[in-house]
Amino acid sequence: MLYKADDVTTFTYSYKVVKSSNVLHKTPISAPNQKLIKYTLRTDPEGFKTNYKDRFGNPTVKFDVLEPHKKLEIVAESILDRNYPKLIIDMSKDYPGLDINNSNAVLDILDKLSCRYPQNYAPWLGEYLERSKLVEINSVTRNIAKALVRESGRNTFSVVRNIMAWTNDLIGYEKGQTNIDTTSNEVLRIRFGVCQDYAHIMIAICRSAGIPARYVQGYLVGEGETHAWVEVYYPGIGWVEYDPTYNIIVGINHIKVACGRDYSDAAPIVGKFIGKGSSTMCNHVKVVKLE
Amino acid sequence: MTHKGGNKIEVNKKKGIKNQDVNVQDKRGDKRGKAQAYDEILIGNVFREPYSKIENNLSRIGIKKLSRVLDEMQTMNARLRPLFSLRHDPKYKIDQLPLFISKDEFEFLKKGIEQRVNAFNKFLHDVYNGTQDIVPQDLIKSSPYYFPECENLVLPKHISIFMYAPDLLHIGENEFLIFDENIKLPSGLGFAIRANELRSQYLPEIMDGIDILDFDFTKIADSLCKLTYHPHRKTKLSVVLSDGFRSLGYHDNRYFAHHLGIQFAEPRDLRLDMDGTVMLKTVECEKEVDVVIRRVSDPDLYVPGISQSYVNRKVNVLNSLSASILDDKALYQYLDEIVSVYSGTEPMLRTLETYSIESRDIRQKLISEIKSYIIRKRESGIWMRAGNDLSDEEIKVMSNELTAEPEIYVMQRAPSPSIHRNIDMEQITNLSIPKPRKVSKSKNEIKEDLEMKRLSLIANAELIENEPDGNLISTTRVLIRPYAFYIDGKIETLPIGLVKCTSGSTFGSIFDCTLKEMLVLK
Repeated sequence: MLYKADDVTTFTYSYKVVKSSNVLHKTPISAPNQKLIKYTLRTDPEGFKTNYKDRFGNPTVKFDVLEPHKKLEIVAESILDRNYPKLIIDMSKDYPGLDINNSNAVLDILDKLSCRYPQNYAPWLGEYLERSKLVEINSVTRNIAKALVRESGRNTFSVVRNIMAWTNDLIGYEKGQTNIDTTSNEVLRIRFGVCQDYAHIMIAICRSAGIPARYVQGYLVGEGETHAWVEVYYPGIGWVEYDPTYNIIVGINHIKVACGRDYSDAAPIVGKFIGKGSSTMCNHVKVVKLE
Repeated sequence: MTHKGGNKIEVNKKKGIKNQDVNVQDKRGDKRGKAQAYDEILIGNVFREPYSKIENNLSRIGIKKLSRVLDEMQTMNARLRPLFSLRHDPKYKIDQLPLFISKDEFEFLKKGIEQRVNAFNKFLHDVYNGTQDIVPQDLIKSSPYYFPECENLVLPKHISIFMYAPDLLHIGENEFLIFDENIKLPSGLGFAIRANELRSQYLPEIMDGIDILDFDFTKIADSLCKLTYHPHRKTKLSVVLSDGFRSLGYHDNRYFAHHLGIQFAEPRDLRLDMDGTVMLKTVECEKEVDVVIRRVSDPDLYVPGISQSYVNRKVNVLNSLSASILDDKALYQYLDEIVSVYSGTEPMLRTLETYSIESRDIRQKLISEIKSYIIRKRESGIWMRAGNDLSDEEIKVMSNELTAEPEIYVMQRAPSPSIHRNIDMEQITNLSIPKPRKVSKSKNEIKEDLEMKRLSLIANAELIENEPDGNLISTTRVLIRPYAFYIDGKIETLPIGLVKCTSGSTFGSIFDCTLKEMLVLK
């Protein structure tokens, strides 16, 4: 499926500022089921850019504007080809008649499969099992994980499905209750949040249950802002994407931009500037199907 | 590529992580682990060369005079401290017992520093022209000190590092380890000069019979003017940019500028012209500035737009903004390799073993042996924790932090700084004040007492006769900071340096330390 994604971010400053230095994660990742066809990044003022891959493999742009400016506009346009994940395509072959757009049907079949983590499996996954800056693992999350595992039996797929459903139930979607620095612990307490907080909670419980999970930032077709969801690693299968905000397994409507241990690793834009006054940010995303 | 000293190193270019085999016992590490720290003053119980003379000179001066002179010096020094500073209590003191380096060792140091700076200058040129392949590109570009705007910028004479003042650990005869590179802000030369002045003014007798190399600052300002983008200008002007009189480093910077014969400027003295030329305001007129020696890490904070002028080749800023990348501690693990590749020979000065802890195996191994390591932040020069100082609870908190954010920390093998002595100024000045329990003694008796007492550099209480109150000399661990400049086309090290003293196992900023001067014997 071909998509065109336009991401426009505008910073407006109350006074002129100089030397704004930013790190952007706005280039969609090239993954097995996602192919980047065309990508342009325009900024006004133009500034100096450098491209590299960060330690999670995300394409990153570092971008500095030295001259005085009152407004900074960043426009990232990409055309990409997104397919269903390999796991779902394989399942549609094995189970003819399965509606792969129906998340519940897919999850029902997944429940029948089995998957075990061998001991000392893939040490590089270690950092997706430990606490990180915004995802805390403590006795509370461990107890929740224990209860959810007991409820759903020994099958990892159904444990993850159960965790996702529980997260979706627990948190009410409400903007303004949390910010970008809110940790998973605080969200557990206030029980309100946005997609980022859903993802953090699901990651925290998965990790407490010994299941490697990471944070994904990207676009969702039909949503005007950036979106966040979760990837869970299964041995022999790889990363499988779940969206706890909508309680679904991810198909072709999600476009993956960056991943990391939590929001702070995959934030769309992080920056600083020299100058007085305040800045306001406006972000608008538009994703359309080309076919 | 194999590393000297037996460490196996594989560079994993994709991940930007250097996999070091931590299990392999390093020869140097072994030696430092078992052997005692290097003593600058004694070999066994015998004095090294100039210190026996110092001991004689001290006993000739006598405690009585010493206590008076030290008191005066303390007052003089206190007057030069910043009166208004953002940090409340600048504790630095200047100690009067200099550290001497023999001529042979100085020659070795000189060659080592020259080799290092030349290699770094070539490396920095290659970094910003995309032709180096020692350090993974992703690691370089993700560094907070990498400035994309400096790409393809050609600097005058390809000099990025004009002034170099590394912190050195003296671990043996002709053996030094680099502890800190200090590329961004090589500070403290002003304090070294100040210590030298105070000593020659108040206590010249301490150096009787000791010949030291003289130093000459005059050439520095001349060679600085050659590093301009505008060689056609008739008069060339270079300034030292300080961050203003409220800064702790103000007097350091002022002394530095004064002795090097370079114009001193505060941020309000500089202004940017419409076309980006940096102008210095003077009482007569405004003058075009060719070279700015920055004493602030980000000059844009003080003169907004100056880095734009730098990129547009209107003004040269030294040490150049692009050179800051060598202060990223994640690069420390590659520095020895950089020096050996770019100089074609083995590095004479080696860097303290540094490990990136992004790989989980290495991290867990190092955390389990945290007592023999120190933890430092990639960006910060001062922040440092010694595993040895941490309690069990603190180690738990620290290892949690290291696990949560491994990319912002590095770990280094705990250094073993050399040993030197400080004259305990407070103890000595206190001696001249009659104490309540000695009230029965007459004033004359106290004077006689003082005349009887003798200072010994062997800092054990038994050698100071009849002294129940404690040592007049205290032992200290030292870091040596020599100063090298680009003079007449090559790197020259000055025979004066600064010594940072500490009693703990970590070193903080120079403003929290006792400082002394480093001198070189003739």
